[in-house]
Amino acid sequence: MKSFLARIRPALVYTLAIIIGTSLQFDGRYLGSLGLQADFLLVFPLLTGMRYGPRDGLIIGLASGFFRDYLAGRYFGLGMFFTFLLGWGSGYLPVVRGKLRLAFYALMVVASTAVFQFTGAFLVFAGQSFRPKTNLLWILGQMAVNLPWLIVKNLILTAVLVVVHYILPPYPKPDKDYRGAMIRFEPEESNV
Amino acid sequence: MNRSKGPRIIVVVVLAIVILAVLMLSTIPDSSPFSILTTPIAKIVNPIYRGIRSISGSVSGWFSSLRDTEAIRQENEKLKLENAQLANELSQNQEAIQQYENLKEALQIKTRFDRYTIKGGYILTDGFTGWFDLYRINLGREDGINVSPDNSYAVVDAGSFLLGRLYSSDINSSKVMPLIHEGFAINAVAGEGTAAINMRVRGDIQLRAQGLCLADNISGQSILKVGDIIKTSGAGGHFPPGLVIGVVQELKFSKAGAIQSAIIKPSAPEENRSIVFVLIGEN
Repeated sequence: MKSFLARIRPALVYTLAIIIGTSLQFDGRYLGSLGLQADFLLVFPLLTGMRYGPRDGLIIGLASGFFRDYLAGRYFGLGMFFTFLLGWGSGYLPVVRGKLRLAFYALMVVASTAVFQFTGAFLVFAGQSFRPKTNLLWILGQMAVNLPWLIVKNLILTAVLVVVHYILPPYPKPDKDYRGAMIRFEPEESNV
Repeated sequence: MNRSKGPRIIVVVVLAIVILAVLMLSTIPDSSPFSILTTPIAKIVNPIYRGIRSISGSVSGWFSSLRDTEAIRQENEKLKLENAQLANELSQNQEAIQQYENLKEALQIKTRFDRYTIKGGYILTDGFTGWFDLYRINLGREDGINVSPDNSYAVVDAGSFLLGRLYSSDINSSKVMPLIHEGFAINAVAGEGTAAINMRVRGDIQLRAQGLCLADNISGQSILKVGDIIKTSGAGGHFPPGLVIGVVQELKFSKAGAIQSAIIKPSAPEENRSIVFVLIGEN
């Protein structure tokens, strides 16, 4: 029974995280009315990929994208395509240990949020149904206005996820205790 | 814990191709296979989201009741008095209602929504970005809703103000495209009878952030004015005529001085929305 629970632990933790995270992201009554919704379905696959590698990143990216499209997307597959690539790709980023890791997480969250927003701007421009079409620069400008606050929210969410991960990691914590900063560029090396 | 090995590149390429194929298929309006494919997931996740939403509502309600105890007590007293007065009025009106029903039956009078069944539903999830997002409600095929290009449903609030239309449905939930969404468009009318002004009301990217929508293709332009109430025309047969969309907030003129378009402020309030109603036509 114990070994069975240990085997399904990652799936349980990931499922719980996605359900709670999406509920918060898509609940417009409380966080939404205060303008505090962070993009959980972007940050979570990114951090999963960076922490646990491309396989976990890909699976979580697919699941996150599915929920983004299922719950609120106009077209099915758009969110899935981007977050699955993000989760998978982030698994190949260099392994950073120690406190430097947090700075690296923050840097990647900022970069991903910006890329995701501006990709969204191009998609909004391309997908307009009626003429006259809104100027791309206007849409980019609006995205740029919203971007700093979204980055702040995503960084706060990242901090929360790091704390939650410390309390309830999907995989058991190893016995070895690594100290000090270190960067490795081989993705399959130990990352704890 | 070691980082997992990456999947083979061929797996990633195949997955990407499959997802892109799904995306292309989903842009076709009647892409019903997706709603069937997501049925098992919908059966599991929608009740979970409903549960979480009701728990968060209860927790928030508990905190707000603690915070507002005295205000609630006073309001309760006031409402009790109002309730007693209304009950008194209601008892006096019972007979009039019965007489009206008899008269309606005798003269075969049709009210606005006689041809429609009204179903109330809860919002399961709201949108996030405001650019693409729709929201999901807990009414689906099990409730007699089957969205297709030939079959659309109006979504209204408790005051019968138009909120949007159903965009897609699965077994136990549907997505709602709000009135201010860029993909929304509907035939509308201002005024009545021979003085009616026809127009198209649609969502607009630039107005969406302000919670507004746009009216264009306006006929009889000269008599449209700020403050006019815009209602559904009923053209197309999916939406009943007379649903209030909003009020003309601003008129935009061409260089020649003709009204080119109008900015509409939707009548349905945006805030604290958790229950919506879907109008399901007879056919």
